[in-house]
Amino acid sequence: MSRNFFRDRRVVIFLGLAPAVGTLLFLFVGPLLVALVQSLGHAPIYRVHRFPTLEFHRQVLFSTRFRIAAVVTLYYALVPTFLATLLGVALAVTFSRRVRGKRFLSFFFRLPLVVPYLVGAAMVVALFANGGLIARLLYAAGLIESTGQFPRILFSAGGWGIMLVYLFKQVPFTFIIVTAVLSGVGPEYEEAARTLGASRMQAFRFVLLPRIMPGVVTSSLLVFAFNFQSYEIPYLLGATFPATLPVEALRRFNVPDLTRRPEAMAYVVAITVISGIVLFAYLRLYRRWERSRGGVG
Amino acid sequence: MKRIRRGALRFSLLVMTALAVLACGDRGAADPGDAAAFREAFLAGRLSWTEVEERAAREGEVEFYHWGGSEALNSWMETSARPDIERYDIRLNLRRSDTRDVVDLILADMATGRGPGEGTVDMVWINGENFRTLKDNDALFGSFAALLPNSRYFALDPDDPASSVNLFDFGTPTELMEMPWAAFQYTFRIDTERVRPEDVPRTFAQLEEWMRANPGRFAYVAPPHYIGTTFVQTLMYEKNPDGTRYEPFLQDPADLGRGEFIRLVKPAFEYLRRLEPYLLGGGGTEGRRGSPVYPATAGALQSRFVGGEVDFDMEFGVFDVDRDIRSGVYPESVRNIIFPESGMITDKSFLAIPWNAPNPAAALVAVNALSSPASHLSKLADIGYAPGLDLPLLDPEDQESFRQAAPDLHGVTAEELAKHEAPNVNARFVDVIDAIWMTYVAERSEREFEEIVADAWDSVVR
Repeated sequence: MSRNFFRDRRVVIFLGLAPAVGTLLFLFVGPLLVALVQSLGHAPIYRVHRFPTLEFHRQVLFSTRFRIAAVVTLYYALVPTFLATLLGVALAVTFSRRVRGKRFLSFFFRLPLVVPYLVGAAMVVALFANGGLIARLLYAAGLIESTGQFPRILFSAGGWGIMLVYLFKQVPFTFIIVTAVLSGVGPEYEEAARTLGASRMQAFRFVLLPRIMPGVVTSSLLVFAFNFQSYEIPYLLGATFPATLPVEALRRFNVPDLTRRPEAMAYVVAITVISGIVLFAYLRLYRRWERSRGGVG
Repeated sequence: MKRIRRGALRFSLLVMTALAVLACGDRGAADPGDAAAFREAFLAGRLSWTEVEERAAREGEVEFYHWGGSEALNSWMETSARPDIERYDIRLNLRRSDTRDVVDLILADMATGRGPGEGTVDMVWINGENFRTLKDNDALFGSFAALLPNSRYFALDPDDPASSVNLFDFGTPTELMEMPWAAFQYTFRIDTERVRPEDVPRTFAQLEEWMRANPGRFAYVAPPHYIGTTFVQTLMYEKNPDGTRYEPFLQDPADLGRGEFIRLVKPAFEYLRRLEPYLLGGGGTEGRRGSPVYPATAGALQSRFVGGEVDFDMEFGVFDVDRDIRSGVYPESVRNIIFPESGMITDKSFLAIPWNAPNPAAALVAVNALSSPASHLSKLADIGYAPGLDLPLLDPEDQESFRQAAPDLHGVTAEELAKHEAPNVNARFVDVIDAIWMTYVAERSEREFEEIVADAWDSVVR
């Protein structure tokens, strides 16, 4: 009986999946449920017994602070995602061809991946701050009268510092994922298309791109999800106001009055929901596009 | 294949058993019922100190949670606190942690029903809002401070005005539930290579003139970082239209009232808005705000000061300048200044014991050990933490050794600093100040000041 039990395919699959699913439930779904429940007013540790109430969500969602933060967060997340995808794919496609110094260059382009985001932030400060290297070089060259004249890139609402760090890390990331997909595709189809008279652009657009699309979609999904929910880079390089959603959430989390924790949790829930909606919509669009093409040929 | 699978199964069973054993495992020698009885007997004064020490040795260890962000402090804990406590057969377990997280940990323990003797934290270095949170949640051991033998070095008599810094923590009565441990005064620093001593402002009004003459050379840390909030509080004291400086802000917000609060703080917040064009990155013309930079942390401000972008630095701790010159962070030419004359906020930080401390007797003995003149002296000499005890209560020779051990004050004297001491605001104002600053200054909201304060007030003072 017990022998048969462990030979049952379903049992084997269940046992095989259990560690991964268990970890996911324990580390991801669990805390998220806690956040949801607390945001609805159930936090006995902090002496909040108001479950169920939408008061905290209402308070957060109807504030201008939240709306501004949501717009800014989307902006800081989407621009680097778009640029990193564009540049990463361009790099990967270029390097899939024969390029002089390819090995060295592709090693070089991967380097930022091993550097932590925080180090990226420190590098951006060293380069682009008003007292930074570039400002001082321009000053030494006589192009600006004082380092204070150097345009403000960091700590401003434009978020250029934040987006620069994201790009610095995410172009190589996209590059690596797309390169891996490209090596599976091989050059044959593109060469065949070219032999049959397709222009370089046509071969890319109609032959290569559809094949690497799954990789492009995956990497941009991951990049967006990270950018939208990242805390430390906007905290270090962003303006005091406007701040991103995660920064606003943590500010509320750190308020000493613990009975206000549910506000922070309402932010956490909102961040998860918005990011979920965007990712879901993106995937839907991609599926629709796939279907309209009638699947990969 | 099959063998591997069965091996994996056996392994996972083993792991699960191990986890189960760990989960149900013994949580230390203390018997909970016993700990509750001990607490009651000690607080009622029914136990001799020898009995406490005996029990402490039986408990055998103490879990000390402290902010671990300073290498100097961490090494002092190892070289001075550890031997002082281990002398009583108590092993010192140092847990470095953010104080907010410790408060969370204690409350979470309580929420899961862990009573006296069953918690995780024995003692914690704490002050301000965090202490208030524990006190509000009845999470503290009790009024123990005056019952420790070394309490004779601390002014704890409610009738003695010198005691108020020991008996009030950000306006919250300590009720002897925490023991003073170190004192920190908020000081401003300049670099004499850049600001001539005769140009140093003594008041915020003079600072305003200086900033107009030197646009872009001043920045302060953004609240809600406490270095930023304290800057705003200091300004509120000088700009208090009644000239009563800190006095009205010591009481509970509910007693002061919203309208009165608005009247008292409006000049300070108008000052902050008016000066925005002259802050670092501000743009420098009247009426045009530009985009001023508010460093997010004290470290970020310090690096701009050292890097020559701004001319003032600010932090808690009068001996920091000496330490930072020695370690090479500051150039030799950095000095403390007396600023503003209306009052430099001083607060003490404390050692507290949670209600459900797993080793309460060991915690009491450890706090007592860290309250000795010798321990405070070594803390002052080694890492420049001003003593939490009160020097006038010490023998003359001991007082002299504290004077000898104190690091150089670089530019100011202990007498001047003492003369300009001012207490911190009531802890319950802190959230209100942060919320107003965020909306009125950082966000530069178009709404009326009164309306902004009303919102902040109502969301915090309930």
